[in-house]
Amino acid sequence: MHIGVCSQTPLVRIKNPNLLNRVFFNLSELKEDVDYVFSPGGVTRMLYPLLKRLIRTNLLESAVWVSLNPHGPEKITIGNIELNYVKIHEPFLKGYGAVKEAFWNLFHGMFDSGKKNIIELVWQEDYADYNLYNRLCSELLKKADKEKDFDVFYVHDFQQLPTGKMLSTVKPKIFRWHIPFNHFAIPAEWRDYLLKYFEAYDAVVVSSSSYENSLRKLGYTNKIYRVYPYIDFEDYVQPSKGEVQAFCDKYGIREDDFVVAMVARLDPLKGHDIAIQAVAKCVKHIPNIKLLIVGNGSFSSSSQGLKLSKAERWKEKLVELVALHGLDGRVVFTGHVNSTALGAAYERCALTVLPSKAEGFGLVVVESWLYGKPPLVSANAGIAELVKNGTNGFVIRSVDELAEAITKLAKDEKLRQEIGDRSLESAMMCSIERGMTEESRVLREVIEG
Amino acid sequence: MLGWMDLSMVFSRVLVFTAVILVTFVLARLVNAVVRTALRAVPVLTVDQAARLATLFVWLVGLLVAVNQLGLVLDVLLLLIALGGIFVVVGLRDLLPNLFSKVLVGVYLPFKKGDEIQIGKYAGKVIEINQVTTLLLGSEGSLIAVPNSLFLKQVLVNKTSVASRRLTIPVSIPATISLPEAEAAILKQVYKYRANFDHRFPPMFTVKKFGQSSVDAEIELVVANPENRDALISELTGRISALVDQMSSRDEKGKR
Repeated sequence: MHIGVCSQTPLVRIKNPNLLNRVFFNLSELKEDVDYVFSPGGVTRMLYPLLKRLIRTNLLESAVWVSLNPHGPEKITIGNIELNYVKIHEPFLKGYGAVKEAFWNLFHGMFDSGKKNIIELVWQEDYADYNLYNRLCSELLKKADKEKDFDVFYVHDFQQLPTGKMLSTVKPKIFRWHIPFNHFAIPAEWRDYLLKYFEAYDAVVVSSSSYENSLRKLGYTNKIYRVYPYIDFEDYVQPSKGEVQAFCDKYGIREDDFVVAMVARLDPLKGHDIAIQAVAKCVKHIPNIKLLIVGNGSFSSSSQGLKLSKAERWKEKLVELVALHGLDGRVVFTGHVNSTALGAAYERCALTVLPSKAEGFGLVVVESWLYGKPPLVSANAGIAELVKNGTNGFVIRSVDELAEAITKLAKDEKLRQEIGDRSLESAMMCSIERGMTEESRVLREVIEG
Repeated sequence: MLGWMDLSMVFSRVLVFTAVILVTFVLARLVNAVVRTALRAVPVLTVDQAARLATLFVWLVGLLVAVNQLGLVLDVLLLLIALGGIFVVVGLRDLLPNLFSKVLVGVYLPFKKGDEIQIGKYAGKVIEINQVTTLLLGSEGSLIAVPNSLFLKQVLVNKTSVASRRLTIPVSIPATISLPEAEAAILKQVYKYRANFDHRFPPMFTVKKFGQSSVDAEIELVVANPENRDALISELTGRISALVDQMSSRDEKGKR
């Protein structure tokens, strides 16, 4: 089987500025963290291990992965995976970024009736640039299809929705929707617009049962699969005691600190402000509490990506909030960390929080389970349907509920331990093995019709 | 053996023949360009047909004149051409009206794939429009093949809700210019007319065919007021043609 894959976020970003002007690379010639980095984010974290495993088990011969990378080479190969990069000129990139950001907000329920909605958005000049990006992706995929003769196209993430229709092929096409998809956040007048693009796909894969119901309510009649996002446990490092200590020394974490970790990119939707407010409420009960915020901006806010300065602006607001609540020294921003430091953060914390205002799924909860740490998860996250209160974590709906759950777990070490003991079982629901079985079924059923 | 005089005469005739062919070539291109410019506001497929016919006519006259310069008797040649024409017309008398009608579907015959239509006693969903027939899927799953020529003879009822307000503008984009950039420029052009359209139906740009020299596409829009349909088709078609021409000539200049 040959597959054509498309996502906005590129799997790999070139770090070494001396290499940016080269046209082609074989990744094996380069050094990770020196010459290149793997892009953070759920899409790349899921898709790459899936492709690798499908190739390893001979279910897949080759893959071509098309994505945006305005400042990189045209092509990179990693074994049988060929990364093809779409380049857009600066003025188009700005328009594309503006529309993509607006879509993101709209689907995350940040819909402001006083501002643009989708219908107004698609009549703006910026939308033509958004369209252009999708057309470039479809053209590149078609070119690759001529060469490889794909068996199936697999398009990922909301910003690529028009790509399927633009492919103008009757070959099987699958779309993976990663962000929230709630019918109550989608006004009726968007229906025709969205359906026109969704219907170009033979199947849509969503991350939770509620998104599946919403898509049906919209009127989509082709196949819908609910596949929980997944991670490859092998990619996660079990840090040594020395590495954990080095991490603590670097970020000023003392031995007696009660560490609450929040692993999430710096985006207002992730609810860092909720976590900070909850920690402020907990200080009187847990004097040694410390909030560890791990992560920085996404590909969209990076200098190599769409250059949206959302992450910096959000961090400034959070720093102000920390000062306002008198939490100086209690909140640590680590920024982006490597896999060893990420492992150390999980290892050192007592529990994790994900208080997102909207969250497509929330793979960091799976990571938390993997390290045996109880997660406190927003009811707005897709993964909340896998969390059972007091069994494998807690579902929270407000700052007060979050503060209450943190206090409860801080005072009940036995409960933390019990949840930790059961957490691997929960993590297995989102293991790559399970994901691969389900994705293979989706691919097989869609290809066979 | 041919004498020097004869050779000279043959040579001069061949020279005149070549000159006539060259003039015909230039004239055909000129006529093609004139027809395309004159019919700028007319849908692309119709312009293509008209330009092709005009060019064919110029070549036919040019060839006859050229052959005449060689001193050959034209009467027999004209007779052969006329007979050939008659045979083609008689042989294809059932197919030609269908082929001609196909060109008009979507623009002057307001229906397209996916529409629910009725023509005469036949009704169904349009599932295919080929060069000869339009295939309808009847209510009980029956397949109805309607000859395209019938749409010029009978009253067509399109039952699709937005059919009266929908307009389709065919676009031909030369392979020499970037399709994504042309599409973006065309959409920006359409946005200038946004007040005339039903905003619930954004412009839908669809590529129909990738040819060697051009890409055939179409933009589908829904007008707010059906009475403006014709005026919008005409004005937008002209604007888009001019835009594509401008992009094409900019590209050619860039290459030079």
